[in-house]
Amino acid sequence: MLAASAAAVGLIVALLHSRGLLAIGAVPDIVSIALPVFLLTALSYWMIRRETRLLSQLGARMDEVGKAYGLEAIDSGPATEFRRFIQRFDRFLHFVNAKVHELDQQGLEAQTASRLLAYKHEKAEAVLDAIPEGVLVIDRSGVPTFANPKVEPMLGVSRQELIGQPAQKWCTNKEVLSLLMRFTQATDPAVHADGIEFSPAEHPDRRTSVSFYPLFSPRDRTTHFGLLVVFRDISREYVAKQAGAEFVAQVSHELKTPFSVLAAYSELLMDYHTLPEVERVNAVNVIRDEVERAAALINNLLSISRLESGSLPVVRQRVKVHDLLRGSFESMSKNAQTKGVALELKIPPDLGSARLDKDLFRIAIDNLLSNAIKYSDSGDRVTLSAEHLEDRQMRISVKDQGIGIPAQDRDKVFKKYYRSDSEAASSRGGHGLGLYLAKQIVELHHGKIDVSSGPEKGTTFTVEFEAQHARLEEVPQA
Amino acid sequence: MSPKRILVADDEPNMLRVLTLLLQRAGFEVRTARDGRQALESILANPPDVLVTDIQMPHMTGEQLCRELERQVPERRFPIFVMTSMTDREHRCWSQGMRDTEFLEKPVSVRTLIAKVERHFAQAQDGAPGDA
Repeated sequence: MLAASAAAVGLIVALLHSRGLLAIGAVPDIVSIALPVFLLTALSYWMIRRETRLLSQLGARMDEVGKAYGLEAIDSGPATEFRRFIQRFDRFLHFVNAKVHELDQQGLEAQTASRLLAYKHEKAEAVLDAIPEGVLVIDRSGVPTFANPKVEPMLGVSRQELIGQPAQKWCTNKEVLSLLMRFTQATDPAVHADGIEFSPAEHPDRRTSVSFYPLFSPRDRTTHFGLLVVFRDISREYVAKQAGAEFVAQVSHELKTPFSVLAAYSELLMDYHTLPEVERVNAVNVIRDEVERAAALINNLLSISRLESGSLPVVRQRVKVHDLLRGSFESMSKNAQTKGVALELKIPPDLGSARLDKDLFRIAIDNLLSNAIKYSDSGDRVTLSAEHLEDRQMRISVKDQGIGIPAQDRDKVFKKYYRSDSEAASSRGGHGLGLYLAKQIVELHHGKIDVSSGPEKGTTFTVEFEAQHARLEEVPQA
Repeated sequence: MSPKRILVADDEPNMLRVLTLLLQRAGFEVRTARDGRQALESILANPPDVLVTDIQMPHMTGEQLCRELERQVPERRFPIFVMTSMTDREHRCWSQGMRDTEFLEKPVSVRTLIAKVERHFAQAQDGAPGDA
């Protein structure tokens, strides 16, 4: 700073001298010149001090900021204020540069983490959307915060109507609503309940089960997020359960009816000595028929049980189809006669043979015939016929003039336990096993079974399978 | 005293025949019906003293027959004995509130049925309310 002042004074003296204003030896002139020079110097110094004070303050501020990030302050060594400032400024630039780089890195990491989080979130949502159950998450204030699409048909409301809305606005089932209220208002969040079942108001044929699970943080069991409500469509199980109950009722009826007849005839025979001969003979015949009837049902049940457990061996042998059909026809004739139904056999004598499991196939034909007789009224005719088709195929038909099968029931008659809801059919007893068993047996023989019918027009069941025409046979067996 | 008239409704011809025989031998006059509809027509034309009915029958089941009787013959004076295969109460709840309706579980003992019918008439004669 002094050097700068001396230089300024030197410059002024040289200027005056060059204009002849300053002569050697002119002392008073020197004084008059020295004074402004001195004042100018002082002013310069003061101004420079003022500027450097700002630099010094800025430097101190930089030190202060640096200190917060662990930078040491620049000590006041021999360097001038200006030089110290440049040192600080340079170091601060480096520091800021490093910091910006570090922040860039952190930003990149945060972006990656955020993408990963979004991916995880989407994945979790995809999983919740894909699971077959309806999933509803209710927060601690009692309003849904998440619902997967499966919830909509089960509750009959859209997700927009659910999210953020209190249960009273979207839950129409009183039982579910009362349980929801109990859970969302429970003081002990650990309370949980077994599922309840309900049928949605819009779909009384469907059945839904609801389960409630309190949601806790996996890391901290004391942190409670709310409630998970899971809706499961149990219509199929429900129908199966009902069909099973209906089946028990039917089998019970089918079994107990012959037993009732047996019990009554045994009571009648107790007084056999007073009973006319004709009644005694009839009683014995009826007892035999009823025992056969009960045995046939038990056999059907056993066959199905063995068929389903895979323990029913199919023993195929060459069988004369004519004999097999005649055997079935004869065994069912009595049954038809009792009901006043005319049973007719229409088979050509040269029907040939087929490789069949004789006992199983007989069960199938017996079931078709007994079914036709059951759904016929007195005076109706049931016809058992057979014919050859092309490609060594044979068709057996059982045709009746009975009550017929409505179109909507035709695909279902071969289902296990299935019984028509129509009053005409349901009043005739049956257990929904005969046709199911017949179909299983025909399919075991790689054949196909079909039904054609119309209400009030009677029904025809056809069975098609591979057979050998009599003329093509080598050595037919019994 | 003229014999008591029993109407038996059952779609099983063998059951119908043996019940007829046994009840006739016990001194009752027996009428038969092959289904609920026939039974209802018969009752409307000429009410019996006792109705014995099966449940599963074509055209009109035993349950429907009982309901129709409640509707069409509210002043019914004869008792009804329903023969059923089901043992649980659930299958009998439809008869709640029906007077003089009793279930007989299959296989039905006809002797028991006759004893119940005779007790009913004995109570009716004494002026006591019938079996319910």
